[in-house]
Amino acid sequence: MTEAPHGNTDRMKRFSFHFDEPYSAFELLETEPSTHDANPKPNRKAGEAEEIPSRLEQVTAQLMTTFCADRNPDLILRRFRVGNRIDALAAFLNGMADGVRIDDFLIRPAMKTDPETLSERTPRALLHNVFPVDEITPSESFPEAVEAITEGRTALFFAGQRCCLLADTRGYPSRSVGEPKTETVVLGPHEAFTENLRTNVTLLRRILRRPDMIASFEPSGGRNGTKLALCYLDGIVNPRLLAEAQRRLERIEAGAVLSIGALEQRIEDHPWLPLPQTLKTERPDRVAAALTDGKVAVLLEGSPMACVFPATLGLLFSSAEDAAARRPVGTLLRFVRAAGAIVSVFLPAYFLALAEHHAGQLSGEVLSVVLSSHVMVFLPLPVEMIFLLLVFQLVREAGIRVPGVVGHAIGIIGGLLLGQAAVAAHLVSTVALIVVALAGLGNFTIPDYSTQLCIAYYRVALCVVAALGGFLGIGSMTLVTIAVLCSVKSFGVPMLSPLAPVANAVRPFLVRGKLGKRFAPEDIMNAEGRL
Amino acid sequence: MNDRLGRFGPRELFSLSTICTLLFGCFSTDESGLYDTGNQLHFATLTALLLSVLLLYGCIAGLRRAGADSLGALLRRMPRFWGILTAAALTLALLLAAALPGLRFLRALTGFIYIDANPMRILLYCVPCLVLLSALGMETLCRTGRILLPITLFVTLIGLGSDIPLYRLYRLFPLFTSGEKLLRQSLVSLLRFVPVVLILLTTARGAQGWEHVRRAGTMGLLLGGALTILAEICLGLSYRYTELRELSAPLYRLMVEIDTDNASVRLDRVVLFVWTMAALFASACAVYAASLLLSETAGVRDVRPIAVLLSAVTGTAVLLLRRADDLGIPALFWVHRIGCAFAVLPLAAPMPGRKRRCAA
Repeated sequence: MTEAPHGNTDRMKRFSFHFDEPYSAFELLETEPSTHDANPKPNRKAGEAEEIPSRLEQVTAQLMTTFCADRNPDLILRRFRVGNRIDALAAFLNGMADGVRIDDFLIRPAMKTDPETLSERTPRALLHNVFPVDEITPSESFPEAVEAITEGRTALFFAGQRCCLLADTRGYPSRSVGEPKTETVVLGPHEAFTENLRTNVTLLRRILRRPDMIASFEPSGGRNGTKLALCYLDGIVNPRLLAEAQRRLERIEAGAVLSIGALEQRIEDHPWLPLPQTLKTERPDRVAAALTDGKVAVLLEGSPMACVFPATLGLLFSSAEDAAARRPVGTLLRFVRAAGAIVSVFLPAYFLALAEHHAGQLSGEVLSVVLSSHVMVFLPLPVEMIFLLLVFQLVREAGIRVPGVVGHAIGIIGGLLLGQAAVAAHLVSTVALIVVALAGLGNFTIPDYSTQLCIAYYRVALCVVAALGGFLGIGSMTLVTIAVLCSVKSFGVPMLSPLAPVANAVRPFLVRGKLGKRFAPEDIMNAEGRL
Repeated sequence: MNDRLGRFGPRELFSLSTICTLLFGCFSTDESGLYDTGNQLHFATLTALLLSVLLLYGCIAGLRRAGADSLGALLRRMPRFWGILTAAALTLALLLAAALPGLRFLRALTGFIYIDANPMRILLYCVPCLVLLSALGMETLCRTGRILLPITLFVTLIGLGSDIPLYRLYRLFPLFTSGEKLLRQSLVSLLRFVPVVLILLTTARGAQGWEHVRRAGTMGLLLGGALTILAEICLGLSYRYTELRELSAPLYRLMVEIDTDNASVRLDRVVLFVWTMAALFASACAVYAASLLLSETAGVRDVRPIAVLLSAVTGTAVLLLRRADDLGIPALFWVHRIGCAFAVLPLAAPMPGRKRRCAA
């Protein structure tokens, strides 16, 4: 039994794990007071010294303890001598650091240095005279050195010195810049973010070639210490928005934030709401456009997507192609998209309400078509409709998860063969199948994937309400949904702005704004400056 | 204090007041005596509308004079007992205003669509909606109103416009009978618009200045009132006043009259349900205003429990009134009239000049 620091025996029992008891009897009797720091600095162990020891043996021992070198063979500790005079130690992680760069630009120059030139033996002097590396910085903090090693950099320690050098030798494998998978466009660039944070920031900088584009690198919180880049345009972004973003990022207390989706849920205003309150995009051009509007973007190491906020419903329904198309065409595209979304949300529920509760609203011809198509189907119409909507989601999920050509084939098999077979077997009616197919098509016009998913499941709920209460159910649920959307804010910006509340915007809800006006950030962002 | 008031602009307030005026104007009237004197109702509604605008101006001037930023603030300055009594009367007026459209729609729904359905089942869809909307607060309501307004206007105008072939001018006869009756009917009609004025005065603090309230309120009252008068004229053109005396839910019947023999889908029920949504919204505004008034005067620090309670009370009131139509409705209108009479209170707000003279 572990021993509690103070208190009587009963209390000790309540606050301890009973490791000496059999597994079946193991239980945590009361919420265990956390022994960890709520928001620990990354890769820092309890009792770890802040300073760098002056003796290399101590440095080695401390590094081996920190990285658990007895079980973790990736840590490479290479001893060598600089100019045959100064004992040195290079520490790096195998695979994360580029061995050729370490050999060519750190160890070889150090060994070949003329001892006569080493008049001064401090690391700062060695930095200037010995190592031909473009990014190398001195540090006196041991945790900083550990963090640098985990990132793939090389830490150089010198005997008798409490300062080390951190050289950029990152050389881990990463995917090259490819085409967007979920946000494909006809007009516009075909570049997408990768899993490499540095590459992603570079992609952004290639579009926004201005000195006030800030990409500040910070740990994402928790023990993992995954890096994130907070990107914004200084002088354009509202400082209060920026401060709020930084506050929310700092308060993340998760064990590890490994994806942009997990990060998004920890910083958004209403995590319980199915509708996303930030825009997740894999397109650098969309992020760049958002930054010029005064928005903030977060890029996370290992995630090929950016999280842009504040997001409005208009932003979630806009596509990268809108700006590339001519204004009337762009506006028409938006109307088509809005119509698609409306059809996707309301058509199945409207059809169900008409057929189940308000059949008198249909003319005789239409009613006879609906009834004759359903006459051999044994399932009740609401069950049939909900079943079809769920099958549609099933086919769609299967198509996405199965890789490449097989995925497309599944879409075809699911959509055509399964549908045809289901109608032939009198499992579903043709009219219901057409309604669901139209709703599904409408759903695909929505550019944002998270919004698509949200609407896909919302319409199932709407169908249930329509089956129960007809138009009254649809009306009540729609009213509640509108009210909830009106109350939701993303980082202080109402989701339905500039529609409600009314605000001047360069990107109105449906009509695409003039390109000439795009050089001013949106009013709803309350941004500071202008481009 | 968690008053859920928030901040809203004049355009949102305009949307809210337009919808409330239209819905209270069209669906909270005492139908029994509307067409006793021919089609004089149109003039009465117009007079009532102008009177309500004057009432709004007078109340705003009174509250400004008194240095109060809302009606609740004025009531807080009164002696506690009288303040709470007045707030209770106004709350009652607002709650009845919220219940009346509900009652009308419940009648229409059980009479024409869900024939002989249990009203409780219909209210099961409406009351949760009312609870949520009123608890979300004024900022949300204003924004929701902004979304609902174009839909309501579109549906109303399309509905009224599609009946044009049915309109006959001779049905408007007799248009004017006597001045005395007109005045009396105008005062009764005024009760339809007083709740809108009360909502505006109660929630004025969130509108960032009395000027916004005055402007948005005036425009909303005028537009909503104009649509109400238009709807009444369309009814007058479609049915004789003797028929209108007997009809229940005449506006819905007007929609049903549309000749859609060649259309695949009729839209009259869609129109009715859009109006139902708007009515729920207007009721939620009244319930929220009542809750705010009561919580401000009684010193309750959170408006939400009161809003939830009053929404449930409104739903129950609709159900009870549905069951006790004959006795309940006339009594209800008298209570409503007495409650609305307290709306003139801000007109008598103390003038600083007069106070100084008294002190001297």
